[in-house]
Amino acid sequence: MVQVMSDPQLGMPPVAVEPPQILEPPLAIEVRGLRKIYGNKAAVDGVDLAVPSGAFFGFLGPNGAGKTTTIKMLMGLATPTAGTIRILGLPVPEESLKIKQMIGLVPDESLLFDHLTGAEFLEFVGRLYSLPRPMAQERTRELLSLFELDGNVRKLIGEYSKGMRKRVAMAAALIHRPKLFLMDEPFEGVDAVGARLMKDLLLDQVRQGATIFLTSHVLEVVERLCHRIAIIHDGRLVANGTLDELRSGSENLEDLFVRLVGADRITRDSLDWL
Amino acid sequence: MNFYPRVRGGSWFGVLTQLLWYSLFLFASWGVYLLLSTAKGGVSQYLSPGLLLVFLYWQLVPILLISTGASLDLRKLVAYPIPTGDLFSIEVLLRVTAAIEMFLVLMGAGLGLARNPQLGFWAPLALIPFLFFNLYVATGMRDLIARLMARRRIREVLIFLFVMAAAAPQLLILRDRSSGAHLRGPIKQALDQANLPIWPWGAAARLADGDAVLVSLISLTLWLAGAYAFARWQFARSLNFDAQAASATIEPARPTPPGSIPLLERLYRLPSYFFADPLGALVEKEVRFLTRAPRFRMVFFMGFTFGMVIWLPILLRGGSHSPSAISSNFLTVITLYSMLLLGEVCYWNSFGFDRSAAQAYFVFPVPIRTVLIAKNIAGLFFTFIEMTLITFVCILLRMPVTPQRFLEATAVAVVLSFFLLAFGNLTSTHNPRPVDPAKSMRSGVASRTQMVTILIYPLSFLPIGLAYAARYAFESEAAFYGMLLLDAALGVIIYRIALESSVSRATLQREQMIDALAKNEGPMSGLGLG
Repeated sequence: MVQVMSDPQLGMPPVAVEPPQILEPPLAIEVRGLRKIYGNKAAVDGVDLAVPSGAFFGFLGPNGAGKTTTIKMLMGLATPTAGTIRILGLPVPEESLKIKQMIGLVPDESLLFDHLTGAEFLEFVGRLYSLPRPMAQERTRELLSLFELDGNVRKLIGEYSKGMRKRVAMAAALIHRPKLFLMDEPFEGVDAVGARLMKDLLLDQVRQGATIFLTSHVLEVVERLCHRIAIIHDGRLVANGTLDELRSGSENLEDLFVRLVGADRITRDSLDWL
Repeated sequence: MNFYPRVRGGSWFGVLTQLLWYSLFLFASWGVYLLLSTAKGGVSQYLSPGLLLVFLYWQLVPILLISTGASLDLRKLVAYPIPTGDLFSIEVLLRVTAAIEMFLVLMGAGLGLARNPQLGFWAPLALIPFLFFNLYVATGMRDLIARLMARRRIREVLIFLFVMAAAAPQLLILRDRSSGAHLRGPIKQALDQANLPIWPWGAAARLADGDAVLVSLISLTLWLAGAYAFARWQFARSLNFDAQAASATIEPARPTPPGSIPLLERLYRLPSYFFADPLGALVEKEVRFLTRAPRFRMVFFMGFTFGMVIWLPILLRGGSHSPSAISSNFLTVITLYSMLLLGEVCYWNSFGFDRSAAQAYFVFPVPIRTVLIAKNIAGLFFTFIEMTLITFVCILLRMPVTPQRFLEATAVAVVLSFFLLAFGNLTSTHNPRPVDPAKSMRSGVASRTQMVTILIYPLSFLPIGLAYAARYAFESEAAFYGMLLLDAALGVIIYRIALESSVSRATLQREQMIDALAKNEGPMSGLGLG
């Protein structure tokens, strides 16, 4: 299903593409008419999303566009003002506990408890996801080794660098082998080697049938990894489809992104005195 | 971005309590004004001991209250092109916030000196260098203590020294319980010596009096210069201080024989033997987390040391001839006092230390009810460890700890816990606020905390009071324990209702909760967070 929506603010003409008549995989995320209003401002305004199972889905948008609010609603951290969400076929919030059991999260704000060590945190998370303690400990050891966090086992998370915190958050998201990953800026602050490791791991998870929904400002990463992308601007989706379907001519994702959400800002924001 | 309106519940109460508090000192200031404006024949005899008290209050009370007042967060400001001298000047002026009471008293003193017809017009000016002397010393002390408190191990030693310093006068009195007569001599001597111009308070008083002007002026100038140098030195060290490095875990992992579990690890895992996951995992996490949080360690340590220090003289003064209600229930009294101290962390704001990480409880597959129960169990766990330590210290001090007294203290603590946990769950979900677990000393007192302490504690203690009233009225232990049993039943009902209400609140208002807990301080700390 390909949709390129119109954006009256940008003067974009609406483009409608007929959905292909083939049997589509079940949806990992299905969002209909999602709205979130704070006061009199709509942070998310009527978003429809369909993320097929097994997809690597990139969710993009400029700062303040509504990415984090959307992903927070998917994670259950924020309540939608209107609209419906189904995750892995189950409705939110009715089946929240079942859904949470099947998803792995890397949010923008840290879920990490500063006064635990990385090993203690991973074991804690594993046990919350119903792993028996010995299995949680075994997986913790393996994940710490994989993410090269086993150097100083007594170091508290509060003493970790930003990149280390992201790595331990990623390890925590993996410990229970989720079917769906919701990730908000997972590569932010991670060094090149760590980022490469994380990307390889995520691609491997997708190959095994998991679905990944991520937001990122690093467009090269999204361009290289994601099968499908959606772009949100001022709370509304302005694009949704595969990169090939969305770009015109030889433009890359950055060109597409700037064309859809930033062209007017670039000319408007130039300052005389600078 | 925060779209939510600021919650202002409780601020009016904070204003009211502060107004009352400062009115008391305004009244004291007026008294000082009256005394000094009408004093005849040398004001220095009153002024120098008064200034000594001002000095002691200004420098010691913030330490004893584990509160530093407002201060600049240098980590956030050091990156900007602000001259160090400007930052230092602001920091010095902020030291007024650590003892506004004394500022008021000094104002009264200054006006009194100005109105005294026997003194020259310059008399009140003598207080200005004394004021700056206090500000500089307070700045230096604050920086020094904040740095020491950030260091592992040193922090614990420092807390012990504070407690001992607070205990010293009490212990001196206890040494001769019949009278404090032997103390009067040294106290009088100290007050007499306070008038000597070699001390800053003596020099300022003499200067105001126009007595020994040259010596006093030199003395005061030297003290002021010394205090300034001390403050600048400590400020410069704080500017370059890396708190994170100081508090870092530096010990390498100790090798343990394969298959063996260290003693502390066994303690952490203790709850998991009694509770299945996820409850067991959550309680274990709370125990680990709190044990390592400097703020909690401070409160916990104060519970069984400071509690003893404060109550011991009152308890022992009752004597064996005519035991008072307090002295005959010393174990219960100290236990309840320690619960009051622990309340800040274990009951009233149980998500405070988690700060933004509290959102984890909403994304992990665990009902929020389980999370609250886990936090409550962890609170009880520490309350009973605290109580055990108090009993142990009482036995060490050869106080008559009998099984009956222990049983009574335990029963009262359990019953009271139901009420405290019930109210605590409500306040934790209705008024969550972030607390930095790494800061041993708080930088300000939130008005909501005052409200909780003043309103909810008496309400929680009321059923316990009824049990004691029943014992007194019927002169019967059965009446006491019967009433306590009724209290327990009531407590369980209230706890369950409050738990459901808290769960509902946390579920419906999770965004506001997470938002409130994720708030950070600005460049000036101590103006909002508890």
